[in-house]
Amino acid sequence: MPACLHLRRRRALQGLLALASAGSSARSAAAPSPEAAADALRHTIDTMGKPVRADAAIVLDVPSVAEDGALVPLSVASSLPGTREIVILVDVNPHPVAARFVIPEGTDAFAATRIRMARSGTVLAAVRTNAGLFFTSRSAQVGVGGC
Amino acid sequence: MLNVNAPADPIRIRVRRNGDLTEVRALISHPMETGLRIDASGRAVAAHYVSEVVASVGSRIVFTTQLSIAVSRDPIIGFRFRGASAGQVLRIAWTDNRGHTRAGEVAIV
Repeated sequence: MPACLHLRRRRALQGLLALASAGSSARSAAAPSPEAAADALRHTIDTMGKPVRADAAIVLDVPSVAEDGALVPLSVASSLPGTREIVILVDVNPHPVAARFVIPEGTDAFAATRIRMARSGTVLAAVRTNAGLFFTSRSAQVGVGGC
Repeated sequence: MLNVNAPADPIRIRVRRNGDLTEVRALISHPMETGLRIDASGRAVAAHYVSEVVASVGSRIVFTTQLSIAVSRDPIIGFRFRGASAGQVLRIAWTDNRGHTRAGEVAIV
């Protein structure tokens, strides 16, 4: 069970406030309930745009079972033309946006990193191209929560 | 200037160039404290995490990533870019939420 208390929202979101203005500023409880987390995720994606599911064009590689929620490796590759940025979101985390990758001209639409998941849930990869916002998702089961 | 709070380990950068494609894997030494962890005294350890990483070759920025508390401790960043040639230098620089910065460079062979 994750020992998550005291959301330090403002400090933690300094760099990502533009993307992750989700959730209510009054939320001060521990790890979000499933309903609150789903709301936060939905709100975050709403502020990003109208996403279109593109499971074939965005390959999100994340283990279906990760023993340690604090170390979930993932990679994402987009074959959508004009991919400009890739955003990784997790639906069960206190803050939905985990990372944002900016892809300049001449750089492949690919990124790899390791993220934390508070508990088993869904990892989403949202891709912004010249044509709009696209996404795919994968479920990941977590043994020990990663907060 | 020595910053006693900054992690001591340099950025470990693995670069592999195969013709036009350069693949990079950077390992950054950083505690990536989420601000949600409770220490032995019962208090939350303040958030301390890398907020941005910028990779560049000369004046060309080849990759930028914004991280959050949801990125694992000792963050690994992998990316790929085109058009580099032997002899160029890849630089990776990070900034954390406390304003600490660190950079590392490696030659592309």
